[in-house]
Amino acid sequence: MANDSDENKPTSTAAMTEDDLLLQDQQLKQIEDEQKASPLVGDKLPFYALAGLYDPVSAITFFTKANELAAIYSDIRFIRGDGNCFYRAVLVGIVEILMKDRERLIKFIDTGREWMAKLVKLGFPDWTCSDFCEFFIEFLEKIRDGKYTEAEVFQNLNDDGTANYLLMYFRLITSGFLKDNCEEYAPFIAEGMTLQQYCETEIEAMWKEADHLSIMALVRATGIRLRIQYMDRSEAPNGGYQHDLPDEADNVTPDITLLYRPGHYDLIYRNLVAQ
Amino acid sequence: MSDAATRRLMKELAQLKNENPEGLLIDNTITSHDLKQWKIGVVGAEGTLYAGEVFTLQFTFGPQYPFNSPEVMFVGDTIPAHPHIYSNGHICLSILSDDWTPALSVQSVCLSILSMLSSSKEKKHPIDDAIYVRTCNKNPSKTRWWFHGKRRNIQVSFRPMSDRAGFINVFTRIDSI
Repeated sequence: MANDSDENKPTSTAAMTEDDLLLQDQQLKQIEDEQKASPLVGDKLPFYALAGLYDPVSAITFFTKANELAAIYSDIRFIRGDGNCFYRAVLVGIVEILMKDRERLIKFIDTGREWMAKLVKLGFPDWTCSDFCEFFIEFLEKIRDGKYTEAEVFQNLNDDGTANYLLMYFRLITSGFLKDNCEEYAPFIAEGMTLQQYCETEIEAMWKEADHLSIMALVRATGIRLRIQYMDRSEAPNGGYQHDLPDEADNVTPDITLLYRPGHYDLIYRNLVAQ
Repeated sequence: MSDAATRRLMKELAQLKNENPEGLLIDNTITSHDLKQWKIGVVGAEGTLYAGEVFTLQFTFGPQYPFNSPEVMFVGDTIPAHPHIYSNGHICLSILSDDWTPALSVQSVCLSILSMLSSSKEKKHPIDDAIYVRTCNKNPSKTRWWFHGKRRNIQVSFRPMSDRAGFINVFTRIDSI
């Protein structure tokens, strides 16, 4: 199972010897190799593929939950667990919507231009940030102009270089949203770090996982309605807990639904027949 | 080099030539044909300990650039004596390891290094220079720096996705960057 949680990363080095560090490096290399064995964005699979990941005996809680959820969700798209999974799942979810909704696509391109100007105004390094924004806008324009088939769009989303450029746009607007609303969000940053530092080290850097604050910021920055379906060991109502963002959007059909398993997000799709 | 990395590096080079930032000798920049390695001259700012002195910075980019940091070190006959620069050219600067973000660039790295030189109060290599230089890996990215800044507790720094083969040196640096 993909895992990009922080559990494998050391927090204290006080007692570490050089051997520990070498061993840790080997372990990290192994995790990295395992990650790379799966595609950045998987094909859309029937939802029961999820239950297939769990042993019905030794992982009964997860197995049961996966089966419960299969009554609600019809498909799943596995996302590589490399620390970018939240941003990548949202990227793919949005691109899928935009491929079907031309009006929204055009609006999203305009918003992209607005963000580009705003980021520069917020003091982001001018041309590097514009470069990421332009790349993203050009990608959407190619979809708009029919230059990409759906298969080509997914080829791009699975190509490391291209996909990470697109993903960077989402990291930048997440960070930009927080910096733009600094007064509102600064109190949520852990002590000893400014919002600026938090944005630079936790959001703008690749392969850093999204936490609650960055999830909230990206939802607001993109204006999407997001549902997170939790699947963990906790006791929960049938089908498990879910959380809709932004908060006021409760009970509104979400644009994108993500499945959260501890430390990881995948993209899931509601069973339209059952609705 | 990946397509994305080459595309970005070509843009960076064009941008540098166009802007010609103060303190950088852009006209003398040497780049390998695949853009994987650059050598850029930097000049110490007026009114600082390094005023008018010319040094060469060598950048080596991996295929994951700009998502991974470039490897940056001083090369050539003159390595600036500075409390964060080892006599073999390795530089202890947090944006070159754990504080790197893809929004940074060759230009911003050069300017950070110049500003690091400008703020120096003494021309002296780090106290652990002798042992570091004798034992470190030739590649500065293999060094695992520990930054003991105000903003974080003791925390090991490593780059999750870079090539981590090879020997790793562990040095504790007192740093307030």
